[in-house]
Amino acid sequence: MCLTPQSSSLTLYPHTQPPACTYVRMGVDEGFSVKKKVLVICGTGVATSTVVATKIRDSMAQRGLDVDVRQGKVMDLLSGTADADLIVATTQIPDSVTIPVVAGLPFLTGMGLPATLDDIAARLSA
Amino acid sequence: MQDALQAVTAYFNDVGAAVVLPILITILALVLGQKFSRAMHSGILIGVGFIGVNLVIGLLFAQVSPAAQALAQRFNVDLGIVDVGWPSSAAIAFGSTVGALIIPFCLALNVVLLVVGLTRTFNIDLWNYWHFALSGALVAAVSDNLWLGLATAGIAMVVTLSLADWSAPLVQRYFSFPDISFPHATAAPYAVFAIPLNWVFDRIPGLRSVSADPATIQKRFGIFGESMFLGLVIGLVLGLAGYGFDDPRADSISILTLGINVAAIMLLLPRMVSILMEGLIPVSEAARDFLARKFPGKKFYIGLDAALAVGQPAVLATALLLVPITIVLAIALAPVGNQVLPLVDLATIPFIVAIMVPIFKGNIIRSVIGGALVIGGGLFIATAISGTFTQVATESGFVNDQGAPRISSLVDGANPLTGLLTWLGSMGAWGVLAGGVASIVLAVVIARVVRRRDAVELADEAVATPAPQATA
Repeated sequence: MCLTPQSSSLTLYPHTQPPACTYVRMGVDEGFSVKKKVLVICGTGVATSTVVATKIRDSMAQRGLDVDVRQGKVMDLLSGTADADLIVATTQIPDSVTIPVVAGLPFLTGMGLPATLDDIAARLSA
Repeated sequence: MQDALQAVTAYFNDVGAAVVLPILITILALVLGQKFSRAMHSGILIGVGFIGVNLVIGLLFAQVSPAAQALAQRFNVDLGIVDVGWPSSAAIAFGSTVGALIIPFCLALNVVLLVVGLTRTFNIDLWNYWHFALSGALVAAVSDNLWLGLATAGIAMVVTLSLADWSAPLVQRYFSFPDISFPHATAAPYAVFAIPLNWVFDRIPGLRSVSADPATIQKRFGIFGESMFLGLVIGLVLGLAGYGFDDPRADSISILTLGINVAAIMLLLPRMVSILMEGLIPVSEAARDFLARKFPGKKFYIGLDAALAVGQPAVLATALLLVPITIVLAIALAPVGNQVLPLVDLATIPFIVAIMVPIFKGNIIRSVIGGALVIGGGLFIATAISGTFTQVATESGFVNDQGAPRISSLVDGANPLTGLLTWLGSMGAWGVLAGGVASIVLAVVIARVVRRRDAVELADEAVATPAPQATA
């Protein structure tokens, strides 16, 4: 259980002694802060999401924000629940998804991109 | 001199696309003004993506072909043409000789068309130039002439840009993407079928009023959207049908192994292509900036990937319903000539219906019927061109000659535009010339339609807002 990066031992074991391997992870996480997760969604999980994901990674790294950026396709959101703090999508997202969504179109057209990146950074550092 | 040139060409052929493309892309990125380190990084990424796709296609052949052969023997159903999907098709197309030249060639062509006013779409989606490269590569293979192939790629681009201009209002209003069009060779050609079909549907009494709710369909059929799970199920079913269950131990091993391998293929193939794609980003960004500098203030549609439309609920619901329908169609049409086993591109059906859905005004029943008709017909196109498709894949280094299965793809092998262009190419130079003339006529007609549409819009705006305000 403690090997999966997305499960925080703090929430899993709130009252008990953390398992022995936790302190290794805490070193990786720099204390108790957990990496924010961004899920980039597009029609294929490949085409436009690669463009968006690459730019988010570069830009957040430049701002000193350590985030975990993953890609997926919109169909994957239909049956399961997504595990992310923020979704950036280049296509329409089903209404059932409750995670905040940022429109990813500026990444493709280049118009309004700096503002979108600022917005994403602000949401992730909050 | 002639010998030297031939020796160089032969050398590049032998060394393969995984080496040649990185060099070409590095040079192209440098020419467009990227720094050397970034240019080379993207070049190498493309080579790595190629190797990755190659590995997964190898797995696909090793696993699926024996099952398809067993199926053919047991039931006398020949579905021996494996649908390797768009990820493989893209790699095969970029790996061909036409593919090596496609980006500079089509960029230049797009600029010329913009300047002379034959299109207003600037296709910044360089990635999807592979569709044009594929048509070109198919024609280069059937005609054994690189120039006819390159000309065909150009024709494919002219037609796709025209169709994108024409369908732009649909994209802009229905999907609410301002100033965007979809010059996407998978999505755009189907508009030509959807319009007459919609006319017919309007005249069929029962169909006029039926509708279905996308949310319910998404909930019930959502499982068809998960490629990995879909792959597992298809693998298990194909295994059971192909290997039977006469020997529980041996057959269960074969079936379960096939299931998990097809699941792996469905997940891994797009991942590999995403590496290829990442390598192209610096080039496509440099191209966009380059054109923005050269044409400041010119109004054009930004041509993007139809992937943007896939999440629209009606598109999604239609595509989900079409997954099982496509499998049934492939089996039902096998006795009358279909040999394509739908597989990887089951995940790509949204692209086929992306432009059709807005023409059917989001009516899912109509969209499913329309989609089933074009996919059913497409299976025969895919069967017909699979020989050439396999030849191109062999030349790009993805299939080896010995005992290789035939391959095709549901998205681009079954595409009516690809099929038409390949057929014209098989008639040689005159066929390609006819295609070229027809595409220019189409471009001129659509350019006129677009100008008229602008005039109407301008008049409407003048009526709606008598005192126009400056908008930010």
